[in-house]
Amino acid sequence: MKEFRKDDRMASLISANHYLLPVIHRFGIRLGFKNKTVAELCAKYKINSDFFIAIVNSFHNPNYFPEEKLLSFSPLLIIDYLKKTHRYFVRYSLPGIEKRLHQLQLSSPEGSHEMLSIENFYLEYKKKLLAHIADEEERVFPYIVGLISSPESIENKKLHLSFEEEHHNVDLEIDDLKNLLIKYTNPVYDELICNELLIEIFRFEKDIIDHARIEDNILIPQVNQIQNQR
Amino acid sequence: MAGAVIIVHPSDIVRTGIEAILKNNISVEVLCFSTPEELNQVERSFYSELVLILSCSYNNHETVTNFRAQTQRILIVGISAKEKSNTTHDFFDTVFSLCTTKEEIATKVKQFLNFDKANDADDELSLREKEVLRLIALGHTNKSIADSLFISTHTVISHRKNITDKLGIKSIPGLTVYAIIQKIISQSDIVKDKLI
Repeated sequence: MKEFRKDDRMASLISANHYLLPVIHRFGIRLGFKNKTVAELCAKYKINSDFFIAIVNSFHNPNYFPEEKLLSFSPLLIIDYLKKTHRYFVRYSLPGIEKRLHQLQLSSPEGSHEMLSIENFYLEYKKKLLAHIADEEERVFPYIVGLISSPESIENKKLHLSFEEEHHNVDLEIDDLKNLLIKYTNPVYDELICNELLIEIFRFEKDIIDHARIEDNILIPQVNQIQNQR
Repeated sequence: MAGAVIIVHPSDIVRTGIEAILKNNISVEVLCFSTPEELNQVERSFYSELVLILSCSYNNHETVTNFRAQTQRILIVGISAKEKSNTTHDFFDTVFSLCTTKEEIATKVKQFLNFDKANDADDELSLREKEVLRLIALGHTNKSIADSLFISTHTVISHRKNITDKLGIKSIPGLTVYAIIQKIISQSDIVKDKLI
């Protein structure tokens, strides 16, 4: 699989993998690339181009995971990216899935409980995910920022950091949602809406797995290392 | 995870013959051993479903019994040295005799390993599994399911694993929705906030 480089044209990244659109957007880079390269656009938007290229490559190819390279970036840079991803989930992905799921429920015949229970399942899943995101943003990320910027202020407070279990559960449920729709619902609803919904869920799943991977394999090891050095 | 056929028989002729029949009819991995002890070499976690074809003389052999317990889906076939075999055995799921045709052998293996996709009943839950699923969906723990069905917790866990493997649904909320869709429980059976 192709590995992107800094002298590639930004437009060619999108042609190679359009799923990168929101990733690039998360860095604040807007369309209208002209023939500018990754390096040129990163300079224009004041983005660390090494970090950018590591993120797009690891998103593009799950086997490409430059742990050492990524581990060398400041946790602050990574937190900033993770927060932007959270915002994208909260403002765009989750409402999008929710809206389509609701449309689907409305399109199924009256008295059919299937879609209603699937919708409830999703709403409960969303609650758990939002709680997890809030926990990271309100407790974990500030702790890490404090650990780096003013270590003396958080004497002896070791935070237990492991998301793997929670991430695992979150992944399971989104996979279940897919399987329920694909394998076990009666096709009495609007098929086109359901297809769009599934495509959106697949996209979201890819995004969230990538996100969890960065947290579990990059951010947490970095923080553990800093904690152990103290 | 994959499916495979393992042949265990002391006779070279039998092993080679069955292997040839299978290879000519299905593209499936075939492993051959002359003694049951050699089964221990097989990396079990790699195979989710196995057809084990072995000499009827290995009836109740310990290694084979362990193999059955440790493989998700397994079909154990006895090979009888008689021309025709009418004996049905508790130990063997089915018995091939010397007169079993190559078509019968291939069909049996194909069906079990799901080569015939038309035969898609593999996500059908057994009555017992449905009962376990119903209790899971109602929020019962393994322990309380075991108590109410008079089975061991270990058996409950094994049922849960089979249910999850068959359905591809792993979380408790997901299984609950499945149970509602399949009318194994009704919507009113569950307290909404608590379970889904």
